[in-house]
Amino acid sequence: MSFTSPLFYVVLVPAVAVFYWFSGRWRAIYLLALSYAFYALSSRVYLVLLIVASAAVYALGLAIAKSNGERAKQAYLAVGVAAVIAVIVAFKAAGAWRGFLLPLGVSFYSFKLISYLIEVYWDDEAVERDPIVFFLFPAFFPQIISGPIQRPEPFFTQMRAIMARSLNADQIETGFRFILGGLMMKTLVGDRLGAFIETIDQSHTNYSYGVMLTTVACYTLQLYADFSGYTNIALGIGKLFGVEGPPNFNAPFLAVNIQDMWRRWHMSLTLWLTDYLFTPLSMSLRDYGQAGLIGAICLNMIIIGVWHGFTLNYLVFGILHAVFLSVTVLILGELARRKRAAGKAKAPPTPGWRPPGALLRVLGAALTFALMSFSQIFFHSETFSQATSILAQLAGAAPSGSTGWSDMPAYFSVPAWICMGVALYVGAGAPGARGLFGSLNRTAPNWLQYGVCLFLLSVLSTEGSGQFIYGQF
Amino acid sequence: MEKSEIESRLTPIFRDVFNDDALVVTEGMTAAEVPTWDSLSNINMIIAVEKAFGVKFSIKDVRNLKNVGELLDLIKRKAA
Repeated sequence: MSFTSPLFYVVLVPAVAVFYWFSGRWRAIYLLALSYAFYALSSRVYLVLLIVASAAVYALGLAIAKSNGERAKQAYLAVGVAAVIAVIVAFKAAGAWRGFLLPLGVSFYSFKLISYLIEVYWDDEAVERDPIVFFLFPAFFPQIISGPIQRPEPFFTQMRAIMARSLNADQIETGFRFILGGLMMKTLVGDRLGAFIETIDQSHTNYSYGVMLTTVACYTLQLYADFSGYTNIALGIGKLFGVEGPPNFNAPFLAVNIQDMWRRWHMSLTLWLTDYLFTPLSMSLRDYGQAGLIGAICLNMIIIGVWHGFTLNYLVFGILHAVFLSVTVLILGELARRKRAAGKAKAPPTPGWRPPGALLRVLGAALTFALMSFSQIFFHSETFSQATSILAQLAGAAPSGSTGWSDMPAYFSVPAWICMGVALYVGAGAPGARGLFGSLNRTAPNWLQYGVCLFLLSVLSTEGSGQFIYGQF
Repeated sequence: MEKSEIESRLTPIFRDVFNDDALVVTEGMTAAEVPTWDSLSNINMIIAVEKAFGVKFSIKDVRNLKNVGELLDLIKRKAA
């Protein structure tokens, strides 16, 4: 069941109300039952897989913590991680080559399970002995569909606190605010951009070069609106039950280079890879100097690509980012070296005009957005030939059509521009919004603001809303 | 090696790696306080420290570090 489905909310509201009747351990038991029921709606067979995987990792975690020898710990870790990875790889391969439907959230809950095993291997005390709390960690339904990928320790700590403390109304208000904001971003902005893109995609060679260029920018904007919308809904639902999840986005369109972009985009995945793949890998390759570092970066980015699916398009997406990121890291490293060398020599600043910092930041953000959108051609396209056909048109190797913006009906083009503006504004950290709401709060009480949002949501929702892009991974 | 000695030898390494000439290493310092301290410069810092003190860290050693004070303890232990 999707987080945009009306039926979901019809069930969610009483489900939250019932949660507040329970106290202590029953809260965790109830949440586990809710999570398994939610999963069973998608597939009962795969629910068994989730439970078996959780049970295996639970047992392996206990075994790692109990064994004294480093060898035994390593063996248990290797068995567990290899088994979980084998499951993901098998399903991703079956999905890409046989059109198999992936088990709900397998890419996300498997990463949670792997991080748990590694954490216990690194520190025995990270082990979770309470089976209810442990089984809830991968299954927790607000995060099951597409993350965010929470770490074991913050989740376990919060669940223990939830079982011990009294619940308050504040968390319900914050939760609903996140859900409301997420739904608006997803259904009012993301889905409209999605409908616009779909129309252009169907016959992109009929449209002018300018329209095509804007559409490619829309790939990034739509993905942001869709996935940040989903994330806020997921975080909001978690908050209703008192669980704070990790963020996925931090004003990504303010990123001044690709390295910065990946610190702000799908953060729960990139931080996961940083901790469990990039850092160990670059540590073991550290004797190879720059080449080792670049190797670690490239492998990391290619895995980010194919994690989305075993297709040529996602591979190309990963390789592009491996190149972008490696080049960025090398340039930034060289610039820092030069700056330090100049600083040490106490050289006077070279005379002449220097571009102001703000201008450089804007140019950097524009270039980063362009590179991201370029890679989105592969991420977004259904097939490799569709991607190359769009690319050919953008490169001028294939002719563009004659339909420009002015040839489109206003009811089609105007909403698209508005949605692009909103996605860009929010993705740039909504500058000035805090001040605006500060002055708005003096005249309009919260209930009125929520009311306006609900009104907008009800009158502006489009037909056919609902599918989340990240639901397929 | 005394902790204060390690601390004073760390400062120039940190200034170099994190590209900040005003940086002074203290025991309570964490990555969050240094804007340029990210996953990449963290690896560079580890490599520079290993070279300077002639020690070798494992991923497990490095992973559990909470602040610079724990790094000092780790260097002291490894260099002993």
